[in-house]
Amino acid sequence: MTTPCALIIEDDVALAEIFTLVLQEAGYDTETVYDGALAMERLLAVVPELVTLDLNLPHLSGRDILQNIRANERLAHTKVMLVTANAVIAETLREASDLVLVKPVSPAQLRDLAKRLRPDT
Amino acid sequence: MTFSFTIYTTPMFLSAIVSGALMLWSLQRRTSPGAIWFALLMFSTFVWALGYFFELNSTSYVVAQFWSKVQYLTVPGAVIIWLILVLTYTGQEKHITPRNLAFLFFIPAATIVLAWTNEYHQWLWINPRLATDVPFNTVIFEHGWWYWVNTGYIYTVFVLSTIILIVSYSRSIVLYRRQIMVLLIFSGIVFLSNVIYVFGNITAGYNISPITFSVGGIVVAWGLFRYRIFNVMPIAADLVVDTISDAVIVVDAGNRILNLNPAAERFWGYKLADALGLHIEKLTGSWAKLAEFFQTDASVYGEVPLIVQQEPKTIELHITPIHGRDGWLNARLVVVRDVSVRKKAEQALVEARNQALDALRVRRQLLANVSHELRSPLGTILGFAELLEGGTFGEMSPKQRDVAGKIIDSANYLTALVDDLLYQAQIEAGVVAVKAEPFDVRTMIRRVEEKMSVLVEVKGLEFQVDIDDAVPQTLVGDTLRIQQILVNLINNAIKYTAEGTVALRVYCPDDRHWALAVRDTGLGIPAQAQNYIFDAFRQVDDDKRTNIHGVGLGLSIVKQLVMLMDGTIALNSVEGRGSTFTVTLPVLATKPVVTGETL
Repeated sequence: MTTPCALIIEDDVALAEIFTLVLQEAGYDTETVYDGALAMERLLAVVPELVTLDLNLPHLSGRDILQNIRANERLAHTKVMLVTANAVIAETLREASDLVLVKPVSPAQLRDLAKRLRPDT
Repeated sequence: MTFSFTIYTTPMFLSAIVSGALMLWSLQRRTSPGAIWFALLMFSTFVWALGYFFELNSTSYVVAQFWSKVQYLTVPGAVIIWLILVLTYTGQEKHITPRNLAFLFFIPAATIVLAWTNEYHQWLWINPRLATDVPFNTVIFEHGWWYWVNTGYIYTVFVLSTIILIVSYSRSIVLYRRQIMVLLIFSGIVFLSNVIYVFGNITAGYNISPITFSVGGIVVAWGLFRYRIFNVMPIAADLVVDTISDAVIVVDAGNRILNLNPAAERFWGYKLADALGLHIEKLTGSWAKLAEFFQTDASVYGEVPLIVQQEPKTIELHITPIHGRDGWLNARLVVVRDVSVRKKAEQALVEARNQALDALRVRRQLLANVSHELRSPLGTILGFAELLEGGTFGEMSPKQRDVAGKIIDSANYLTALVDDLLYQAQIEAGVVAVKAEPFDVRTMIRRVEEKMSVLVEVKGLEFQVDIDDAVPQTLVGDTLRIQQILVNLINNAIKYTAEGTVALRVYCPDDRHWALAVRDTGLGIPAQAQNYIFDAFRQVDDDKRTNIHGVGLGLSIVKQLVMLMDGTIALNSVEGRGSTFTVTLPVLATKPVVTGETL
């Protein structure tokens, strides 16, 4: 079984680094996209098992990316973890996403959740 | 029998009735200016006509002479009353002083005295006797010298009154000319009849003046009724127009200026004398919409921007066409009000409102941004600290792990603080809305219990949770916000309680309400502090609480949330023994539409 892949879509470089470390600990290969405009291209190239998606992104918002993912059959098996600072907005997108994490995200919590979402567990 | 009835006396009797009736009718309207003088005039006519009626019916000279003198009790003064009436009507009451009245009534008074003492001097009437060659009884006589003094005086005063009326007529605007005309008609009738009596021989000594006076009285009374001349005296209207702060312009049918009031003179910077006959466009400038205003036959009202004396202004125009009886347009009354100040104030209000809305928008955007900008680095700090502590970057010494733990604690505290600050700001900005959705009370309480029990245990306190059976399983409300209220209250209780119990009780005080009571056995809140602890950023500040952290937002947020939910919050506290906060919320029966705004 190949190692599952996680795409981290996050414009905060430091946070992206934490996610990278945590998700690697959780057993994922990772790739990071810092710009909303590049997200779809990388998503379709990688077809990741897991996506951590920041809502507030340059050029294309996380909300739009989420819609694109849900509209694309090739990404039907991709789990989406929404990461946002705004709990109210998070509520409105709960149904479209697989998980909603409200910032600040605890690494331990993220690690557990990512492990649980791995297709091989 | 000292007198006999003859047919010629009938008109005199009718005149007496008419003038008497007019007097009474006018007295009923004596609050109208001038009405009382008109009543006096009619009284004078009444005495005259009645006296003459009896004179005409007398059979002896003595009786006829008596009634002739009775007429002279009021007749000499009538013309003075007429003058007063005219002065009152044309707004020149200032001339009616006691001194002037005494002067004016001097000759009439002398005439009355001389009439009653005529037999001793014959200054008024010479050789008075009963007429024998006419079919009625009347005293005839040659004219004594005082007779001419009196007659001359009467004519002088009468001509003076008429001149005053004519001058007033020429100065009045069209609207009031008819009313002055009524008075002029009366003057004309009286004048003619008198000329006929004094200088003519047409009536053979039969004096028709009392009849013409009462007929004239009817004309004036008609004027009273039809044109309300005593109610709205032209001069009073002139005064109104002259003193009114609105600019009033009268233009003729060709829109040439007939009159400007002082306010209009000031407003346009034109003297009436210079403006007379000018086209209105000289004042207003010529432009299409205004021209339209001045072409219609109907009343026009409009707000127009104008340059007046080199200054841009907004003016309110009210144009009322004045039609003649024939239906043709005679003139236009133009009332101009400068509303520039009001207009500017309105614009300022609109701008202020837009600015306020902009500020609100900016504030909301700022909140959203700040929320993101503050939480992101906090997340990074927490994240790296936890990774450090967890050994991701290599095994840590106990001291290093301890420091990492302190970083995590502080970051967590800071996160909570930022949450509160943002939340407080959101409530203040009015962007927080509460939902009304059904939820399971017991599930919600259990969640809160799980969340808080750790903190309670860490502090070594007892945690009691009690839900009355009477509380319905499902309630309607905003479950997340209610949880937030409970967390804040319980956090508060834990913070200020060193030992003992923190208790949460859920119950229904009545059919329409449910309540959440959080009780502790902590420090309690001093009485004077109970007034302000719900205010934002206010805390009890004393020695006992120096090592307890917080910025004083927890209770403020609770109170504001409770108010958003149409609930109430009560505090019962005894210093040193503990506090109980009771939140009472309405039991919502239906599920209203979810309203809310999100950042």
